[in-house]
Amino acid sequence: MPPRLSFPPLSARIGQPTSVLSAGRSYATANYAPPNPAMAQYAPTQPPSHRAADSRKTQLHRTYLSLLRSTPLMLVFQHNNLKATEWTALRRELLMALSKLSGKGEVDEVASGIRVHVLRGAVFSAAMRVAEYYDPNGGKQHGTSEEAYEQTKKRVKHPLAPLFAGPVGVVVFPVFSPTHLKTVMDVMFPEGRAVKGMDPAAVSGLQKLVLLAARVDGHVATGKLGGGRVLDGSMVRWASGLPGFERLRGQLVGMLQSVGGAELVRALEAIPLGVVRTVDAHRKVLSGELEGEGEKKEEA
Amino acid sequence: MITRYLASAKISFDPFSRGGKTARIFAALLPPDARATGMKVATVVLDRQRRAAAAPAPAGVVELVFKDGRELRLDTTRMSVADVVEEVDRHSRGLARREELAG
Repeated sequence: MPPRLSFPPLSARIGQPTSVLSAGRSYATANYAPPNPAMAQYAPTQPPSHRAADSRKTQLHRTYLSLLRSTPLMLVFQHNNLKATEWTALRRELLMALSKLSGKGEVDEVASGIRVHVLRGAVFSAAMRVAEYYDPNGGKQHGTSEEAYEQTKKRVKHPLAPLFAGPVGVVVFPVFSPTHLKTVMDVMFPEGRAVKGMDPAAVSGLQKLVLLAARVDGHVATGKLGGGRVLDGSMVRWASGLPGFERLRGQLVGMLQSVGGAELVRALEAIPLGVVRTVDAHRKVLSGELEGEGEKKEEA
Repeated sequence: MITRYLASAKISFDPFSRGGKTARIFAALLPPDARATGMKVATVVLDRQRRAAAAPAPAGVVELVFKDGRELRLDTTRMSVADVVEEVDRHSRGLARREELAG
């Protein structure tokens, strides 16, 4: 590897005064290995990006991609000229309404994961194309790679694509929970009048919010990566009117018992019980073996 | 856009169609204190299936009423936002001139 600093040949240097400093420099040059130019383009903690890694758009693209991959439910809304005070009031009301869902002292993981984001539409729709078309097509590289860009840059028509023009935001849920969805819908997109007792700033803010659509599923956890489905406003309202999962399960069990499916319920219950017994038995066997081994070692 | 002379605005659009984009963005042109200053603003999100059933229904409609009582109904499916603003401002400018001459 050639040295980075060009030195005149030794013959030219003979007779010239030398100093301690120059000796030190030559020592440093000998040990210095310039970084691989391909590696130097990006921060060591981040994979190489097709675009400039330190630009805001690239970082937003990464953020949106991780949002799209990690959320099972995303409400898309339009915000028409909300003032900063109205945003803060609305967020405060939302936090308060969500905190009422759980008892005092309990930490509601779902509620704490609900976020309201205001989007850069074009960057978001680019990220959505990667999430919907690159990932399921066996995307080997990461979302900001050149390969991802090349595969998704053609305008594939996504049903949500026309939405991401103008002032658009999303509400992101960490899991699908009808009770939480209903709370968010009541606070931010009420049908008719707003909830009584709300901050007037929040009320004037929510008048300017318009629910457009929702994106459901398509995240990693369910194995439906890229399989996002699109709901319109009325379907979101219908989904928010569903009772919670606990009540739905209770209804199902009740219905089965009344119809005469008690045996089915028992059979379904028997499976987890059987698993617990088997695992417990296996644990006992394992611990017994381990004790036996310990004794043998002591004897040896 | 001159919004001083608007008494009411009703904006209906289909969010899933490209034709609805203009009406939707027009809603964002109204000032933040439009409702507080007495303008009646109504935003209607058209149902996707219902609009598809009634085939010739436009994807975006802006209905405006000016303070002098004149009504303006625009099918914005094939218009740009600038076109809509031009249409609205044409009448608003006349009203502004009349106000200026009167007082």
